[in-house]
Formats: sequence, C-alpha cells, structure tokens
Amino acid sequence: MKYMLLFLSCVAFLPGCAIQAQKYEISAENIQQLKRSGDTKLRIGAVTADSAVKDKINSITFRGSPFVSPYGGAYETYLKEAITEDLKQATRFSEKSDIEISGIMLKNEFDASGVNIGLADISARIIVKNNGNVKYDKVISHHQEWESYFAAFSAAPAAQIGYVDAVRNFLLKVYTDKDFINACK
Amino acid sequence: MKNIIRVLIIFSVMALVGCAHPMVMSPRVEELPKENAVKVDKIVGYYISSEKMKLNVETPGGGGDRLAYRPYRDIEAALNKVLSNVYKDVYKLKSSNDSAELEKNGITYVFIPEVKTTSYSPSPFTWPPTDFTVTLTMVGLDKTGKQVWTDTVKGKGHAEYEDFKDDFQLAARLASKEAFINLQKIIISAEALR
Repeated sequence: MKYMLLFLSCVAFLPGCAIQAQKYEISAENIQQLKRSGDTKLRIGAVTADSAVKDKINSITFRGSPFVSPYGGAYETYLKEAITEDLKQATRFSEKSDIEISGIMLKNEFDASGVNIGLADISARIIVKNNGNVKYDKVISHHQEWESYFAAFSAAPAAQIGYVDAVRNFLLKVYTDKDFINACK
Repeated sequence: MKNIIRVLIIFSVMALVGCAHPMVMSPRVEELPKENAVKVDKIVGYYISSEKMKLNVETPGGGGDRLAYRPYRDIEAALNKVLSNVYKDVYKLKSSNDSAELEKNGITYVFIPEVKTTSYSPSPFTWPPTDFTVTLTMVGLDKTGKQVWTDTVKGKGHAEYEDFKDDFQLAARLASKEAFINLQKIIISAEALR
C-alpha cells in the first residue's frame, strides 16, 4: 500500500492540465543576420495557418496535455510575433515600409513524449512583396531536436526551451536564404 | 501486477530524486531600454568562445534538485542589446584578436564577458529558484588586444511561488535583467570606452 501511495504521489507530479509554450525570445544570431544582410525597413503582413491544417497546427500536445501558444493560443501568431520582434530588435521594422513579409504556416509538429529526445517540425510558406509585387515565395522547413527527460517536470521546461529554439532556427533559415535577402533589399 | 508497480515506482523515484531541470536565465531584451539618447559613435564587438556558448552549468534549486542552464548562450542577446543601446553598431566576433576582422568592420573595442551565477530555494517541494544572482565581469580590449577597461556588476532576483508559477525561471530573469541594466550604466559612464 505504501508503494502505491508513493507511486500515486509521483504520478501527481505529471502534468494534467495545459502547458503554455514559452514566449519567443530573440537570439543574437538572428539579429546579427538581419542587421548584416541589409538596412531596408520591412513590415509584417498577415501570418496565417493553412486552413487545411489549422486545427492540427494549434492542437499540439505535451504528453497528452495541450501545449498552448502564449499568443492567444495561435502558433501562426507566435510566428508573426517572432518575426516582428526580430525585425524590431534589428532596427529593420517599419509599418510604413513598401516591403512586406507574410506567411502561411503549413506544419507545426511537436513531440515531447520521448524520454531522451524531443522533436519539433516547423514549415511555412514565406512571401515577400514589394509594393504588392511578389519578390519571394518559398516554403521553408526546420526540424529541431532537444534533450528530453523521463520526468514530466524536467521534460516540460526542456520542451518550452526547445520550441523557442525551433522557431529561432526556422527563422534563421529564412533570414539566411539568399533569395529572401535579395527580396528584402 | 506487483512487478509492474515496482518498476513504475523505481522509474518514478529515479525521476523525482536529484533531477536537473532545464531553464533559461535570459532577461527579456525589450526590458533593457536605452537610457540616454546620445550614442557613442563607435563600433564595437563582443567575443564569447564556442566552448563558453556550449557550457552547461548546474546550480541548486528546491527540493534537492538542480537547475541546468547555459549562461553564456542565455545572456548573449542581452549583451548584444545593451551594447547596441550604447554604441553605433555591434558585431559578434569569432575571435577576440582577429585584427583583419576588427579593421574591416571598424571595430574600436572588443568586450569579453565572464558570467557567474548562484541559485537557492528553501522549498522542499518546488524546484524553481526563489533567489538567483548573476555576477557579470566584462573586459574591454582595444583593437590591439590591450585591456583598456574592466568592471563587474551584479544582479539579484527573488521570486516566490505566486510570482514564478507562470515562469519558473523568473528569479533568474530578474537577476540577469538587473545585471545588464547595471552593465549598461557602467559602460555609459566609463570614460575609457568613449
């Protein structure tokens, strides 16, 4: 009986309710890349989720519990806020710019069930328009892995950090794409 | 059935005892605003070795558990922000003494950070730190590699359960925020870095 009580107390530490993803945090690498690749100002347009997979994109889970975007529950908004924050910190953001970045999120898969490795796959169609003319239209994808744990209360923060890294590294792929850099000039 | 329960108990106890909980200690960069409008009209760089960027440290948390984080990786964006607040432009450098790179980019000073941290929680039940300190020592080199400045700043953060329940690393974020606000102040006031 005492073993059962101990086991139940252990299980009680596992998450039973929604976990919020960590808000986006800029990386120096992304800011440097944006700063060094041009000085034209950019604005951000609509970033949406592909209607065919919108529910899937926004219903990712951490070991059975919802893993919720801190931006109104929408991961497409997470992506938009991340790009906006990067542009602002790189001093390349202006709402009046003729060059607009928009996007359609196509994939947002997340698996933190593993006891050793957590996984995230992000894919989005990124579009750059200059005065309404399309200069860049490409699908960018990124696969991220992070160290995970058996215990949920260690795996959860690792997943939160891992997801931020996934978005950062996805955006770094966008920012370092030569066609994207040229379209933003 | 008994064997299954035993195995589950062993795994559960293994998972509960002495865990290292991953976290970040980075401050929110948007909370590190410019303090004065006048920028120093110089270009600077900073150097953090790849070994330091990968460095994972563990310090005490609550309940006998440990906190695991990468201090240099976590503070890099804040360092970049603070230097950008003060100087005309900031470069991340691959080496502290690559004179060709310094010359090419017009870099006047190179900053090298050293980070030390402590953490503590009296709680036997929750792992997040209630108290966290960051000690940041910065060395400033000129473009010949000669040290022209050094100083140390500290930051302290405190968060009780009600504060950190939505952000487990809050005490660490508060400590590093205070350290970087202090760093910005001393860089602005350092005559040797003008």
